[in-house]
Amino acid sequence: MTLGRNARAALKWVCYTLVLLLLFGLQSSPGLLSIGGVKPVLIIPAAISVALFENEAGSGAFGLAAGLLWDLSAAKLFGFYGMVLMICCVCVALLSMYFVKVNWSNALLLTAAAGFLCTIWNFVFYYLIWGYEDVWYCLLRLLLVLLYTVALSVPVYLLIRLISVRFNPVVRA
Amino acid sequence: MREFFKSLRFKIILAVVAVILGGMLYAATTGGLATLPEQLLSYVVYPVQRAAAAVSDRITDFFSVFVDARANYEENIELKAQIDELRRQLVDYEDTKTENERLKEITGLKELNPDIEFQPAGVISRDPEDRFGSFTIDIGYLHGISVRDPVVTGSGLVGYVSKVGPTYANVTTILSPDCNVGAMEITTKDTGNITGTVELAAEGNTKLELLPRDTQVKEGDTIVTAGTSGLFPQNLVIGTVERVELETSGITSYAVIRPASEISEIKNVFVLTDFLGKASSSGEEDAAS
Repeated sequence: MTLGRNARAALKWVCYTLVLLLLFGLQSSPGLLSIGGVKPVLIIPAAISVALFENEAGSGAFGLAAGLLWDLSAAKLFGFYGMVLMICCVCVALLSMYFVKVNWSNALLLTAAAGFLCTIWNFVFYYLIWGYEDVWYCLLRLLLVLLYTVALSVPVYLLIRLISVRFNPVVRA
Repeated sequence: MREFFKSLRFKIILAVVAVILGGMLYAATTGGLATLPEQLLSYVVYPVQRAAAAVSDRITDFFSVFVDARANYEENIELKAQIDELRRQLVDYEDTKTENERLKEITGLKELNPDIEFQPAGVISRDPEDRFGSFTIDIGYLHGISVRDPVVTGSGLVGYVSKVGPTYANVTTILSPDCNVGAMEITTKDTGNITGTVELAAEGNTKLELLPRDTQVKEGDTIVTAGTSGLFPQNLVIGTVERVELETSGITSYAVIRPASEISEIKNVFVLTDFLGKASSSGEEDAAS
């Protein structure tokens, strides 16, 4: 039995959402994936990888949802990460539509760029402007989180690619 | 590409950004209470977080057998030495027991706060990007907790509820610079303010600041809450003094405090929903900003 176009699209977004929830669970679970107290933010590579394969509207909505999930567990203003991830995903979707090839190395680079933006956004508004002592030490720790996140971006990209190849009639390359 | 910036989609995205900004401004004025969209999303995410925390606990327990084998071996030797020491101490047990009962009557939390009420909670989430050990617990205002309720373990104070949703709450710990708790040393009665710093938080320690320059507080002393403002009960154990140093200004001293609870590894806590003297602020100390 062949699925209709709308059913395939719906199923694809359900799969993306399930992957996002799974990665969110892994990222926010106490202790899991922790190396020396450093844990990855897995929803960044998930949102960026989806943006590489989808249009700007879908990517923006997915980035917003991913960011709001992160906000929920991060005790930050609701929308703090949601807004940044949404903008990042829209930009990545546009880049992949017009300028950039979709492959794992670009996924890694774009995840690094988006992650760096999120890190700086967090650092400026939750650490730097409050004038804490040794605030640069915090940035170092946040950059370690980013490094760990980027290191795991390739498997996340491959997982998202698997879903995209399965459900999209034409896969962007 | 140029068409995109003239398209309806671009305008919708801009509108969404504006709505989010507005939502953030509104959220900032709610004083820690979760906004409606946040509450709705939490209902969806809550089961995922609980399931992930349960799976995480099991996986961590399983692998810790192998990962911690060497540490367990060393701990075993240390514990055997402690057993020998404890056997020697057993001789003084009866005397100590009597004395302990008496001290318990004087300093015990429950005895001092007969009206204390609490809710047990589990830690379901930690933010990878937070450097001060904050975490999310699995109970919210539907369970009777509210913003600024103290959070403790059996060992002592952990922090306070900084944001509350229907079935979850975020806890800011005593490692955070945002946390300010009036505290005192139990023997010298020297008082100060507990607050975190970036450097000490990385070691899992916090700071007792504003001690007198010639303070008598020393390594190993116990620090408890002063409890004068009604935000925290009196005599909750906060931790022990690791070292005392002079501030760079030279006017006051500070003590580095090892929290009684190992904050980065906490899995279960209690939220104190009511206690004797709650919210009877004198406005002098204990400000959870």
